Amino acid sequence: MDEASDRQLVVRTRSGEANAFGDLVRRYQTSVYNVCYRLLGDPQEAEDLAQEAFLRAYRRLGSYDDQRPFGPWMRRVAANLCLNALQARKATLSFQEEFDEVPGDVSESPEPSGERTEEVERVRRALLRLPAHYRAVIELRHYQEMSYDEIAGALGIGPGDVRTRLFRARRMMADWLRHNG
Amino acid sequence: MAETPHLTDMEIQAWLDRGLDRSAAPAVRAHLATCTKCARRLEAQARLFAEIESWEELTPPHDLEPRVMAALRPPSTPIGLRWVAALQAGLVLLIVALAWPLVTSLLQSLHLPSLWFPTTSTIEAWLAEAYALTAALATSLQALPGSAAAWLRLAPNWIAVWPAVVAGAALAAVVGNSILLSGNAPRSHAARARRL
Repeated sequence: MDEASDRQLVVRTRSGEANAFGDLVRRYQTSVYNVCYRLLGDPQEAEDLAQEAFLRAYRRLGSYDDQRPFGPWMRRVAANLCLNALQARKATLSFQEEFDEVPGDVSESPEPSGERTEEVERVRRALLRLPAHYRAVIELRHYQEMSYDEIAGALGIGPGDVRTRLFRARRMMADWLRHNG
Repeated sequence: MAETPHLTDMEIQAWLDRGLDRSAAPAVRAHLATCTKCARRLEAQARLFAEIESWEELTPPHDLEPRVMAALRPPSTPIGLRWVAALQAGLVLLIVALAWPLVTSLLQSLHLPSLWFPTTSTIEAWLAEAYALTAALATSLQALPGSAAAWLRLAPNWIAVWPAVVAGAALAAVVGNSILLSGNAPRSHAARARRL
């Protein structure tokens, strides 16, 4: 039997078939979890926020345009939720603390899904070592493929700031990769 | 013809991001077409971009589907408890119907003194009113067995078991509500799901 399309699952969920949403969760949990993990840098927090993202998506399914692909919308919901969490976290930290903040121990991250090459592992470490506000721009640009204007809107900053943050974040990553090659 | 200045790394990145202003893009394109140094730097930046995007997806430590679905499911009341609640409602209605003649007869026998128009504003007057009220209540209580007996004479024989009905209904109400409240206390859906 053919697997139901995302659109069919959304329609069935809207008509009250909650189990159809379960299929969507199974289908997108990995990508949503990875969005949260990249942004938050903590496996446990990422798992909690990924779950919360699906609950939020379910509640907001009425506003989802089912002519558009579900995956990017779902990942956007997760990213927004994580950005709000980072914003709340930032409110409790001074700017310098936030700038210096890095995930506790990136070696405690979850097991890779398959054979992880040394190169991929290096990239993961380089990204997770970035301060949260730099991880945010990298996530939105490279993994969510948002434009400068969209990133600016999501983060509440100007497009010029987006460009600057991206530049600095990439430079930090490049430096770390070069010194840990 | 004067050489155009080399592109900055930020300009190269903006070019790769398709984030340059429309007015600036043609000049950057033209420069990249002629400047091998900047073209090499562009390649280096593109490699960095590819490296960043080579993130290999990690599998979540736990399957999220059961947790999400548990959080979405509305708190359900077991069918047995629904019957208990319905039974309680029925019993309450029955008690009200049965007790109505008793209540009205009690009200008729109760002659409450008026507190709205005290004769004087002195403390003695208030005490007198309080004494009168106490006396009236005592009289009513003395009349209670008589009123109840009168009501029982009016009621059919089977209603004579009304104390047992009241006691049973009260017990059912206390037990049923305790179970319902303990099993369905409001709590965050997410917190409920996280416990799974």
